[in-house]
Amino acid sequence: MTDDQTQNQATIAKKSLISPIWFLPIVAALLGLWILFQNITHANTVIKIHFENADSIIVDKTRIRYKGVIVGTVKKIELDTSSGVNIIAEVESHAKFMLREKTQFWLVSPKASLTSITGLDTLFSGSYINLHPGDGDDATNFSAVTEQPITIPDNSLLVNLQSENAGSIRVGTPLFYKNIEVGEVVRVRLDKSDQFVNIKAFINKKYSHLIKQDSKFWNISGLRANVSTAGVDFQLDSLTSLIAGGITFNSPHDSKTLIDNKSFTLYDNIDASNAGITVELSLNNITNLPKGAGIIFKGHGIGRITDISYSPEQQKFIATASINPQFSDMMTDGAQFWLEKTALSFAKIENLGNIITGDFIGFSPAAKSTESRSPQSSFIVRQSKAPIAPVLSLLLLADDASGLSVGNPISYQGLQIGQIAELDFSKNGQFIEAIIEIDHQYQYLINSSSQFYLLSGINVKASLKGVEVQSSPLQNLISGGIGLHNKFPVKKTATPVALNDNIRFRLYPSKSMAKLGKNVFSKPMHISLLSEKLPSVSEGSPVYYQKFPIGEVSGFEIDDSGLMRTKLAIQGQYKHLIQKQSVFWNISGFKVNAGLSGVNIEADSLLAIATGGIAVDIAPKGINTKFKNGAYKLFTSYQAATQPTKKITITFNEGYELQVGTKLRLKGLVVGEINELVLNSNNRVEAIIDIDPAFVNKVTRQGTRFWIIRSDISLAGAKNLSTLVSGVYLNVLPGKGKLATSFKGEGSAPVLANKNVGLPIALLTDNGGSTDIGSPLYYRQIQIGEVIDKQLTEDASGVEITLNVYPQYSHLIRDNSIFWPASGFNLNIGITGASLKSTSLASLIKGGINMSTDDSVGLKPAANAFTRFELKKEFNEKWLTWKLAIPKP
Amino acid sequence: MKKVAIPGVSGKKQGLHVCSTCGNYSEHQTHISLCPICDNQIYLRKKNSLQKTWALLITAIIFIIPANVYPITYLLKNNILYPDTIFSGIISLVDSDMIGIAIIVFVASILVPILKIFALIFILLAVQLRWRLSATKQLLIFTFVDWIGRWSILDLFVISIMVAVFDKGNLLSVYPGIAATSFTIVVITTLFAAHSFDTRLIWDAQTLTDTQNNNIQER
Repeated sequence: MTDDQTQNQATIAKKSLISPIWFLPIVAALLGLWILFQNITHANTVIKIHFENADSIIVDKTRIRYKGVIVGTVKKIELDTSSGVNIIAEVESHAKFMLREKTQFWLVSPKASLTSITGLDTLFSGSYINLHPGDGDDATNFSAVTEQPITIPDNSLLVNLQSENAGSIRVGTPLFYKNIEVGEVVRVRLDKSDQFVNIKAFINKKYSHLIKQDSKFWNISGLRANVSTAGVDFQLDSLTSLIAGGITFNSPHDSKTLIDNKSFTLYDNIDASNAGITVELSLNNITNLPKGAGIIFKGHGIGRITDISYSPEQQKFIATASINPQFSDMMTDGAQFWLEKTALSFAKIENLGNIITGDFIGFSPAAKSTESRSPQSSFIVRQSKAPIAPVLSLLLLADDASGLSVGNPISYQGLQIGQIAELDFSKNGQFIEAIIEIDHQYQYLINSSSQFYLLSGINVKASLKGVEVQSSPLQNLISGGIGLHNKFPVKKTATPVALNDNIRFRLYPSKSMAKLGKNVFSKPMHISLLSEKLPSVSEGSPVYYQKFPIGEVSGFEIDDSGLMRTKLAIQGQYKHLIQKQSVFWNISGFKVNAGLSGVNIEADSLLAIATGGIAVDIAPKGINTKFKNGAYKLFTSYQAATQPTKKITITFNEGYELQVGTKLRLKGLVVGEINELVLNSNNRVEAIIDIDPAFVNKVTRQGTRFWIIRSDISLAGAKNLSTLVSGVYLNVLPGKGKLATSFKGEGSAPVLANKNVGLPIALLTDNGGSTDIGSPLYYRQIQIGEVIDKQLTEDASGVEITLNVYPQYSHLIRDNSIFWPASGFNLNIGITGASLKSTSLASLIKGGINMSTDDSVGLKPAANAFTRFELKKEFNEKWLTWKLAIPKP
Repeated sequence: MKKVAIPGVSGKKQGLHVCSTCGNYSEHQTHISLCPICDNQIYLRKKNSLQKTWALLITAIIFIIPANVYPITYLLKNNILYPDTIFSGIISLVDSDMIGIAIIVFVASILVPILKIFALIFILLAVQLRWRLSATKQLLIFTFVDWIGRWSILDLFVISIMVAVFDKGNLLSVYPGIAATSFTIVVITTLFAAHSFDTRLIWDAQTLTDTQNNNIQER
């Protein structure tokens, strides 16, 4: 037990310690107390509000708010003993101070009207009761108001208006000043006398200075139609005012500031208010301009004509207009008035309504500038709208006014930069003067080198490639217009060039004309050409210089001498191209070159094909291009004019497939063609050939050889297959003798005509064997030449085979060289078996000749041309073992 | 060396104590406070067990009041805040004919914490005032309290999930209220209170009343 006791004593010692865990309940207790304290001090106040009905009020859900802050909750709804319901609500302690006798409560529920949608949030959150604090002692019993009390923004100005009738004015109707909403009607009440309507409106604080002692208010509600003999005049202010009505006002600048609680009169309209300022407008004519016509600024009516009278002194009509005072500050010098007429054209339909209502007057204020403008009260009305910014007026001279009308756009690279302002005859009646106006911001584009051209609607370019239609915008297509062309691009930063005052621009008929320059307008040059036959051109056919049209055919005549006279009109700017040495030729139609490579059609131009044409160029010296009477000759072609072709005659034994038109080719180039084929007295074919002048000197010399190239198909190969399709042609190998006109032609290629002229050698053999023209000559199985001829010897004792050894191999042929046929195969049948020897497959088919040179006797001299060798019949194996070194010469 | 424990007699009487970490019993010595087997601290009884339990219990009692009076969740629907206390939540569940769930919430959130507190108070008083009650029955109550205690956390789970899920700004959001914190404290403190109570004291109290008036009541 002593053990236990000591143990217990030890425990007692520990007992005196209080566990730190007690800290926890102490803190908890303190917290609890604090919460309790908070609860007591922030106890909700219970209030009672009397409502007519409890629509959309839900216990525990409907809140009481003040400026959007929830300050309380409906806790209970009970029926009042008399009428209506009592709402018991708890208001949080922090809002307690607002619970005064005059505090107002009202129910906010979603309300949508034409002008505004209010309480939209309540759609989702449900209705709530709004609180508006008032004065008085503390209170807990309230009576709700039926509608939202007038809430006036702090510090705003209240104005009282008096009106005959309320019109469309109601609570919420906005007040406008220069179409800016500055306030709102807050109350519409009948006056105590029941004679007037009292309207109370507030003006937002920041606009309150606008109301002055002499401010005038008028109604701009809705759509107003003014029906008179002049037509119906519709006047419409802002859409809001159309729907909800509106009040606007004007305050004279010099009026005193509002001092007392003055009551203003609300006029029915601006006219009644007499607030408009008066301006005088002078007009040249008043067609369709009714009295009461509107003055419209950017579509907004800013005034109307109140009276029109005629002033005999000025010989003008003076229209008196009343301008909405809001716009009075725009009536300064520089402001413009113009007559807006109905424009009914293909380009546009403007102001169609004017047909019914009569014209109106357009207005635009003076351009903004640093210097202040002085007010002005009399203006001149222009006939059409003038650009607002200072425009650049230019005078264009046009030959005729077709395609031009006032208002047509001036465009530069498709962008409109101005318009035609006026069209008139020039003083001498020769031109049409078009005054164009270039907008301010594009004036830099105009310099003295600028060119204007008529924008024609459609530009069709037809070529063999297809038809290309270029059309300017539809507007131009219909209405035309004027384009601007600048030779040199103008930088945007360029300052407008000061132009000479009386600078005149010409109107070019097209852009391409404009590019050509001023000479377009110089007078055309007339020249006449004489020819035996009338060229296949017609009036209007173009005249080309280097394929560039420079004029046209203007007419035809039969000359006294019986020649046909073709008259040309060359455009003035190209006069210089026509000189004494000019040569004219007809370029009508096509030139077709058909070859294996395809058909090549050369046409001078599509227009030339269709209408024919005449080309002109400067002829080389020494060629007569004129008749004695001074008229130019018209040649059938340039060649005919400048280089008369030379005719030569070639006689052939056989005509083969020659025909008129067969070409004569030199190394593939066409140098002439057969003009005529005749059978001469010797029963031979004579081909009369036109030689291209350029080649005459080369081709028509003695020693020149002509032969016919035909297709040749054999086992050895096919040659000149192209002639199968394109027909035969004549080949020519120029000689070096004197010029001649008569030649002898050959039916096939001459032996020496091979391109690779090398060493010709002859082989003698008993029969031709399988060798043929073109068969190869092999040395160590490498082709070093070919058979170019195979003929009987003169005495017919054998066959002479002519070989051509290629130049690079000609040194291989030595005097002691041995030749044997390589054709076919060699079959040896012996005891050991059969051996079949064949050279290359090609030689198996084409045949061929082998060559070798004995190496045992040393190097013999190289063979000379036309050295005769024997073609061995038998082949010796030994020959293949010879290894003679033959150095290159 | 080791004393052989005699079953049916408390370890304290035999001078033995059990290590709470490794479960081995060893001879009780005043100067040695480490388990000879695993070297962890070893006590005859849990230190200040009754004090701790009381302190935690009192904390729980204090916090259970705001937990039930103040809103446990705020539901922000269409820009309007709807506070809900535990009880108002249960009532709205009953209103919307979900009595089953209402009962579960009521049991887990109101009944169980209160019962737990009462049960612990009862056992504590029984130990301290040496009411001669059946030790096994007391243990049964304690075991039940210990077991059911964790279920009270259910409500907090639901709240935390709702706060996370309903987060659509002004349209629909849920925020936890003061009561949620208070309730958490209640649940935690009761859990710790149950944990800090040494069940062996129940028997100590009974045996001590039999033998001698000693200072056990002070523990």
